[in-house]
Amino acid sequence: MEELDRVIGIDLGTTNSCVAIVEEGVPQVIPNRGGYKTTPSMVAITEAGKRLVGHIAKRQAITNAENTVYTAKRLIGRKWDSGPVKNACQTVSYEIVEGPHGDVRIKLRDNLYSVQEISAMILQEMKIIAEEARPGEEISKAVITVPAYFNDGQRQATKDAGQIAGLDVIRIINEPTAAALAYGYGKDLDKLIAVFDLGGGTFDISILEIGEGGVFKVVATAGDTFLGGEDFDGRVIDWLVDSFREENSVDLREDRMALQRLKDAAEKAKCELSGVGEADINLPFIISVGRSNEALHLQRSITRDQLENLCKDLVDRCIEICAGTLQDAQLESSEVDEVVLVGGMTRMPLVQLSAAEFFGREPCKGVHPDEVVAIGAAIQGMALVDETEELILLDVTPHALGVMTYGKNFEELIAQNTTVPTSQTKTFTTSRDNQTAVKILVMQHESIEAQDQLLGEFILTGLRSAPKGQVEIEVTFAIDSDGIVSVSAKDLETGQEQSIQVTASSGLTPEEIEEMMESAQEYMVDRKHSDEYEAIEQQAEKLIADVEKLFPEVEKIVASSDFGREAIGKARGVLTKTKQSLDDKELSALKEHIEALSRTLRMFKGVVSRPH
Amino acid sequence: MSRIPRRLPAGAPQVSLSPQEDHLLGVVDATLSEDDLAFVTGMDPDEVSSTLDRLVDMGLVVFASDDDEREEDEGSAAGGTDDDANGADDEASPDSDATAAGDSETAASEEPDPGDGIDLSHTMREGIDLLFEQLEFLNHYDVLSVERDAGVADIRGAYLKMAPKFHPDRYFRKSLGPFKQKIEAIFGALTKAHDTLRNPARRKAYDAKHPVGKAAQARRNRPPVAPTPAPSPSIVPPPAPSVECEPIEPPPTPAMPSEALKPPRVPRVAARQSRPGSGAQPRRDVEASPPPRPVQRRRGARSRPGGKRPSSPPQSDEQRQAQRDALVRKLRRGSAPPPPTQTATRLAQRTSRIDTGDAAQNVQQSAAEKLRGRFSKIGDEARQRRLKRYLSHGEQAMHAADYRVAVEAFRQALRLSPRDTDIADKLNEAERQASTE
Repeated sequence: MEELDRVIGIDLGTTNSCVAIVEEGVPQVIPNRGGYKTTPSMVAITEAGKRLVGHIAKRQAITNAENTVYTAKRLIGRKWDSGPVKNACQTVSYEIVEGPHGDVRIKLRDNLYSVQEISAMILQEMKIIAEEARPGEEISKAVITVPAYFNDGQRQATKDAGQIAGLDVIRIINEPTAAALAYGYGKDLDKLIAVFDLGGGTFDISILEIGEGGVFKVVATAGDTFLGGEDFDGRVIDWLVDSFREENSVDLREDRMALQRLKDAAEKAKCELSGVGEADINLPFIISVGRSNEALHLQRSITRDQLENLCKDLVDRCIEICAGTLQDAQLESSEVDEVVLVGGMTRMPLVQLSAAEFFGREPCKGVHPDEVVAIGAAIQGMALVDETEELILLDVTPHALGVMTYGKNFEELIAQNTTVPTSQTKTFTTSRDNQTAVKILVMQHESIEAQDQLLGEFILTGLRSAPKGQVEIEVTFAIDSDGIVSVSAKDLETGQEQSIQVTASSGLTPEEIEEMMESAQEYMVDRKHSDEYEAIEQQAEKLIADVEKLFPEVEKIVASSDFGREAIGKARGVLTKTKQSLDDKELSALKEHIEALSRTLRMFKGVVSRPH
Repeated sequence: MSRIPRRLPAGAPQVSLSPQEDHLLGVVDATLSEDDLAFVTGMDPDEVSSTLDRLVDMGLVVFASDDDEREEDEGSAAGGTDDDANGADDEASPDSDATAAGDSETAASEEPDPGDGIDLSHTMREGIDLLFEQLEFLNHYDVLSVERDAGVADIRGAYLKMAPKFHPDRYFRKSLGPFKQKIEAIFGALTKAHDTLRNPARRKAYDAKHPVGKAAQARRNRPPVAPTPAPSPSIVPPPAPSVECEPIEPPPTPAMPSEALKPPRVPRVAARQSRPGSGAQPRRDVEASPPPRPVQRRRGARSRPGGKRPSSPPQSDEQRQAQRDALVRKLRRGSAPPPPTQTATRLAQRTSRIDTGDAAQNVQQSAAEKLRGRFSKIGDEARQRRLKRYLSHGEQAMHAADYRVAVEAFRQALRLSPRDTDIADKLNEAERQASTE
């Protein structure tokens, strides 16, 4: 494989993101600068207008809650008036406003950002992590994962985010599928596996058949985009808020900073309870009340049993979805040869136990729940660009596709869990007498949310004027391996045909994306520039300190000679100039002065080391 | 030299074959190399070569670019049975897995590019075209190349084997031109067949709509029919006899509501039924690769291994034993090359399910082990002989100061014995000399 054709796999998670690459056949996660393998999916803008992404954004989240975005993935590709967005408006600490296309924008400081831009900032960070680990290598191709149950719009929005971040997103794949790839890669397995993926924001279940020679066939996939670790946290927060209100008659939700602290504490306690039986939550000075500004403290302890009671129904919901998926695929849970647990939430003992009980077997422990998805994405990327790689993924469409017929009925053409690429044809007739045109409404059906979404529409005209039901129209749906849907309608009498390629809208216009790409590029340049400046700045400060430390001694030694006095004067000049350019933040001047200053330091060192 | 021939899908034979040609053609299965064939049939290696060349000229056989790993013992056996005196032809002999794979890949990519900007080899195009054209005439069983009574495992195996070959991701960001649609259509047909046949209820409904023709029934009462071969990179069933097909325009994909296809299908089936014994290739016979049994009665239809045999021309016991051994060897093989695996596993299953009891299986096993031992011994001996020859060839060339020849000879020698540092040193020396020259 050519060096240039390297593909990174990015798990763009709700709470954490991860990037991986296949290095000489070995997939591996690339740690970030701090050595962490996952990076918080958080973006913040500081008072000075500086962008912070990842751990650094998370660390300042409490003090800058209103300008720190988290769980942006829950908003991506969604409409302003959708339920999930309405929900988020009430629970998140940052401000969400309506965008120009009925989409969602996030207000940080005085600027509005689309959700795609926020996601792009995270993706850009992942790209930088990969590039920093491989100096001199520019990485442009990526496979990004999304929850299996993401709809077309959400997938497209994720792709757009990648584009804004300067990535060529060669494929979007489903998270559980990626996990399966990582699990089965290079093992030459021949079995049926279930991937149980409970992440920060979403739950997915996928059943895959792995055949000899690296064939991965997705049999069925389903999930819920609003069932994840955040909901578990939410239960704990609710519990804390309610009990605090009972005691103090104060609603902590009113205070954004308090809410952010609660959120952190709830998440921490939840994670702790996977390992221990009881966890303490201690939030001193959580809120000040009354005229006297009396400070209240929150102090609670929570046991594992309590947590499990609070979240039992969430786990049950996961199992319910599993059962439904198996039933749709006409499989028994006992037929599954292996259960792979993915996502941080699967560390919770209750989740593990429930999954084990349902499938009647111990889940596989061989994969790392936080890293496996990114690794799978990297594997898929490699398999696509490397012609010698045998591995192939036979994926399915997670949603049913069809047309809206007379009477607002959804008429399915492509069923859920159909292997792609695929195409299906159905014949329809006119519904009114002398109807000469027919409007084809291309719909996506989401069984779990029980709602149909319009993907696109077009009109077939020039039909023969005839009594209703006499003119036949053949409609063909096709999905190619990139997930692109095309629909055509043909008048069987005249042979006249109309077709469209359905491009799901992510809520942004191409111009907007272009603009956002540019500003993302500017950021890259700025950032590289500022990285460089920071390094020089540090160097200068150290030099100044070193020179100033030696100054009195050197002055004493050389003060007796004219030559020495002259040298001291020069050194003082260099020192002043360096300080000046530091204050002015002038990179090129600073560089020059640093050189002079290093010479001075060398000379000083020579002077003091000489015996006198 | 040891090329690996495979059969091309073809309709009724246009030419009359000599018994020898027919015999050899029956054994060709896309996995046995020329040398294997000589060993299996008991024919003279040269005779095998020339016969195969004739079959190639007739368009019945091509030499496969088998890019899969072969077992070491087989590889060496292939090189070993024919102690080829021709070092230059060494390329085709699978001395090591790596070389074999590398060579065949080059062979595949070296096919002439018609210059239309489509990144597909000639063989692949042919395979895709052929299959695509027939798609609408094939029933679900034909598409997957499985028997009417195939079990779930067979169907699953067949699908997982074939689907990747026709998945567009195999040609990611390649320019496929009109082939993209064809590949997707073939993939869709495979998937539809698989999805239908895997589901008991849907399979039942499908079977009811598409009853087994009399011809097929008749065949079923006869000795079971073994599969006919298909080419290795692209599994393509032989064309349905075109006379039987109504000239209707193929739909964009076969995945249409069955009603849409029903009317044209009925007459075709009827036509087929009316010609049970004709020389036409029966559709059911489409499978991935045959066991190495010679065809005597009819090309393409061969008897199932271990089953009752039809009257076949006289064969020496030795010959028969060799063939059986070869078959056994394949059945026993863990990871066979892709096209035959499907059949091999299926055959294995079928063999144990229908034809053989435990005792027979034990016989097969011990025969296989014996055979494997023999093969590897022959292989080792041949390798040693050739190693010696290359080395002496190299030494002579060094003496004669013909360094480039020496480099080549030592390189070949090193390939046979990659861990021998002496040879590596000699190669380095020769390379150094050659470069200073």
